[in-house]
Amino acid sequence: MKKLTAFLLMAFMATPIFAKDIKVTVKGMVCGFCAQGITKKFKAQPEIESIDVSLEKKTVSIKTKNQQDISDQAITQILTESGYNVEKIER
Amino acid sequence: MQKLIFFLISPFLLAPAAFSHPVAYQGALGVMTWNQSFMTDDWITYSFRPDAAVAARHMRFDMPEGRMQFYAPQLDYLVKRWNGTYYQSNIYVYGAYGTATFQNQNGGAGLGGIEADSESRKYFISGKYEKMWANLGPDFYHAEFRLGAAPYEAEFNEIASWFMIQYQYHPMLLKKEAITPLIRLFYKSVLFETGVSTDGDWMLNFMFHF
Repeated sequence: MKKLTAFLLMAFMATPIFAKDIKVTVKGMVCGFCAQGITKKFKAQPEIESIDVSLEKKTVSIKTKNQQDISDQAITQILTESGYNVEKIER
Repeated sequence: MQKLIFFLISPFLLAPAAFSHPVAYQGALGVMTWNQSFMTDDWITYSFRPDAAVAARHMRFDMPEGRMQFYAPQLDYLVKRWNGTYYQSNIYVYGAYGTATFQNQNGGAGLGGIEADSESRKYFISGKYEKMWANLGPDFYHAEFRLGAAPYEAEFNEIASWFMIQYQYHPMLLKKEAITPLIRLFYKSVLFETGVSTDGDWMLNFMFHF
């Protein structure tokens, strides 16, 4: 049983981390002109594959590159520097 | 309901907005030019923090006594921002000290200003008050106030349109006041405004963020 558990654990740990889809709900994002900084800042991050901003849904959808991730702290910092408040981060 | 009331009254708490935010996102470089027959206002702004920017500014005022030109470095500061689910409201202050030219003379001049704005995807309200102290020529102050509505709620990558009405009060200028209906269009990092005042004066404004 121990061997099986170890095998499963190793198999899990060895699984490659694929691209991640992260959805961030943002407060204060009402103007497309003002929110351009969000896309510029995220696109400048090497781990980011694509970014999609929705003023209607108040969300920023982030897709990372294969086997890469971006921390909640980094997301919050980018959005704060862009002038907004993070309400929720969903992974 | 409290948020709605706050959204509506916040700019009135100060003075009579602004064409653009004096402070943009951190790292933003902005160029803005405002043009009317009786005044010009040009800004190059770099936001080095989310709440602060440095700017280079040029202003032209046409007064009964002659034309005044003002050139100065400026510091802009975001005093307070409210980010709500459906709105954003801001209060900014700024100060500048530089050179004014008037009647073929040069002298030191300082400028202080306060701006407030509040907007949703559908409505916009803003106010601005500026005062300039010049060693030569009369002191100058002006106030601007804007109300705007969007005919549709533009998405992030769509062209946004706004219809606005602007009131300006500047008793020292050739035109003491102006009421200007205008249209604002923006797409991504480019913003354009144009209008004609009730006296027939054109207004042409442009802004770009790098």
